[in-house]
Amino acid sequence: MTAIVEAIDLVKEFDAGGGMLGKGKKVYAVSGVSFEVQRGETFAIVGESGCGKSTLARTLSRLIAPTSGDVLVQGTSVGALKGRGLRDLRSKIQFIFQDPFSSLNPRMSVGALIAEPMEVHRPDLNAKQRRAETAQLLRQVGLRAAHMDRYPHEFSGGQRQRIGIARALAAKPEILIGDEPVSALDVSVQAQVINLLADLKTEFGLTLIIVAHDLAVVRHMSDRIAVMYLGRIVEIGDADAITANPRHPYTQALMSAVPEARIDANRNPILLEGEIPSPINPPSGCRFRTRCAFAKAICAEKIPLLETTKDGREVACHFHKEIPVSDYGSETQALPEAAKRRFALFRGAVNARKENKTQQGEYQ
Amino acid sequence: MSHSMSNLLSVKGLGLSFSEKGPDFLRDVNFDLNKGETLCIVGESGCGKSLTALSLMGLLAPSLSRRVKGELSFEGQSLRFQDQKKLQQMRGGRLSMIFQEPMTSLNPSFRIGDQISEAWQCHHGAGGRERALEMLERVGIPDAKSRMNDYPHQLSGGMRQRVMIAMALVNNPSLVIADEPTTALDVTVQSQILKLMNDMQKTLNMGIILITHDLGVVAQVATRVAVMYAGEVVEHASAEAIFNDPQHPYTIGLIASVPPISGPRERLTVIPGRVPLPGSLGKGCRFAGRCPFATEICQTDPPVQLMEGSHFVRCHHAPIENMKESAA
Ligand SMILES: Nc1ncnc2c1ncn2[C@@H]1O[C@H](COP(=O)(O)OP(=O)(O)O)[C@@H](O)[C@H]1O
Ligand SMILES: Nc1ncnc2c1ncn2[C@@H]1O[C@H](COP(=O)(O)OP(=O)(O)O)[C@@H](O)[C@H]1O
Ligand code: SF4
Ligand code: SF4
Ligand SMILES: [Mg+2]
Ligand SMILES: [Mg+2]
Repeated sequence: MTAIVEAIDLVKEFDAGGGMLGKGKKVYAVSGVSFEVQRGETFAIVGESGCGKSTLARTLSRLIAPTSGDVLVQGTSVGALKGRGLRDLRSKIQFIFQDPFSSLNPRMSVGALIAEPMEVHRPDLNAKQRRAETAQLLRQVGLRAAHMDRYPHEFSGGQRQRIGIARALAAKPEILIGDEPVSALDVSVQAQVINLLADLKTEFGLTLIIVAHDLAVVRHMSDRIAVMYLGRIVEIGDADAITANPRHPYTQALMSAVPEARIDANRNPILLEGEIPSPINPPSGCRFRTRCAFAKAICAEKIPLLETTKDGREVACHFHKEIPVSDYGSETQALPEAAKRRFALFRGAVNARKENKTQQGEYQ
Repeated sequence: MSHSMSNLLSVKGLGLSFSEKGPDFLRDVNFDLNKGETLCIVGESGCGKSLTALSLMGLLAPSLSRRVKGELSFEGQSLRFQDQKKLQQMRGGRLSMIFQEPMTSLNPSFRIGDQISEAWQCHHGAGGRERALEMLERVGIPDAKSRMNDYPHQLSGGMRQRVMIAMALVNNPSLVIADEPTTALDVTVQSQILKLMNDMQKTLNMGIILITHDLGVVAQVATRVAVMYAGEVVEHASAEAIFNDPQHPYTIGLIASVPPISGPRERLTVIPGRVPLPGSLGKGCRFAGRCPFATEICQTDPPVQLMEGSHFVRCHHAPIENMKESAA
């Protein structure tokens, strides 16, 4: 089976721009990234700020061109596409942005915003059909058809993200790429949008590519995860396997730094030294070596390549066979009874109320 | 809510309205903090966490400071929130503040060494430079001596946050209020900063009020927790009680909607709707519009119930498992 999206040794370098420090230098934002995404899968790219996630996402959807390397969509090289072909690709791949407000034209009504991609990508639709479908899409993302005549500023952050999603779906894409689609939302609204994306994925038969910095969110949403550090993938594989038993020292540190919303006396985070170095002057060899507790001389000399381990994941570390595997899966302590019971009561009561409400949008 | 001798701060009946005749947005806010402990104020954006901090710091805008009500007792001294001037004078000394964005308190055009030194000399006179160097070393700035001469923009986000902590702690405050101090940082740097604050707290025996929207951070650092919703404290208890025995429906829904980092992946629990804007608060319980347990009686103001062990809940129906089937 051909992958629906394949990244082949993608590289993206930017000019560092003016200023004393930057002149004539390059920002090594993405430095040789390869992976495959299968149809129907949710694939996530996770890492801390500046590691190149957004650049990678934009390269995949051809919002920007890579410095070298290629992207194949259903086996076709994107780099070679022009005119009609490129437009078809654009309709196949749609983008959801982190900040729904900045990505929506404030002077366009919600209806016009959602109809616009239909005009571009589906010229066969007439005005009446577009309007009917816009109403339908609004309901599918949990808003009301009547919202069509309102403007983005009249909506909350979560509702705007729903509008952004409806707009992306209007082109009838097969692949949806979200760059931090829920990062700016408060936790209760974040949960609403995460559930919505899961529902829409099934309903529209989508392939999702999610870029985010929050490992808990990413684990929840995806089938496979790629962990990035300074422009390179350090570990890639099954979402549960990677989060339960991270093998790369960076993934291990990232997992241990995620603060869990429960009291756990045994928690003992791995503290990394320092911060991510600048991508203008990344460390030689393994880019993680300046913060890695396991680094040896070879780490400065040789770039570690991704190697497949027994459980099928890939890890880029010279010493992945020797470094002890972390365990976040097996010994999760049970929730206390009182909390567990009340969470269940809450969830049950919300579902019961939802069934009673015909009006969508507000209570969901 | 009286506590033992180690009580550092009690806030009683803090209230604040945005206009002359308008209703109180901050309403009947009460909480306590002991010496050397960490109180987390948690809630989603727009719940009034920052306004609470500003009221305590004497940083309310003049138009608002006229309308603030309530009292506090700090280190045994009683003050009214109306005395914003007095609170202001304490700031930088016994009371100090750490912001989310370090550039709020660091001046971009002065060297960091001079700024910290200045903060010390304000309250002590001479000896600022030695003290500044000492503080920079204590907060883990590498090569502190030469860093003294750096301007804020020459530092990374994590380093700037350390410098701000150094500045906030230079005068040995007994209470530090940190408003979302790690929200703008990556998780690995957040871990470092939380560890640093914890270490400094132990050596200086200071109380910390940490304001955050992140329940994960709360679970890691809090001794006590005040959960805020739409301008009110809806639940106030020890951290163990909040996470292991949550009583208020908002607290329950909030914790349940966080995606867990391990264990089976189930559909996320959601709280329907969103936090109401200050202008659209209805009668009675402010959470009623989103609460799956709301009944007729919730249209009236809920009482504050005292559960076992200094555990306060503002709800008609807590504990919810005792509600009658027909009501839910
Ligand atoms: N247009 C650009 N010009 C120069 N540098 C850029 C540009 N876009 C991104 N970068 C740099 O590339 C690196 C990776 O950025 P980005 O892909 O946005 O990371 P992330 O999304 O993981 O935070 C950063 O150092 C960023 O400053
Ligand atoms: N001066 C003001 N006039 C009117 N509304 C205000 C004023 N200051 C803050 N607010 C509103 O009060 C609410 C609570 O604000 P804030 O304390 O900043 O919340 P939090 O820190 O919990 O996110 C917000 O909805 C905000 O818009
Ligand atoms: S290659 Fe070396 S520096 Fe890089 S993660 Fe492995 S041990 Fe650490
Ligand atoms: S008082 Fe009523 S509406 Fe408010 S939280 Fe309790 S049950 Fe819900
Ligand atoms: Mg980004
Ligand atoms: Mg705030």
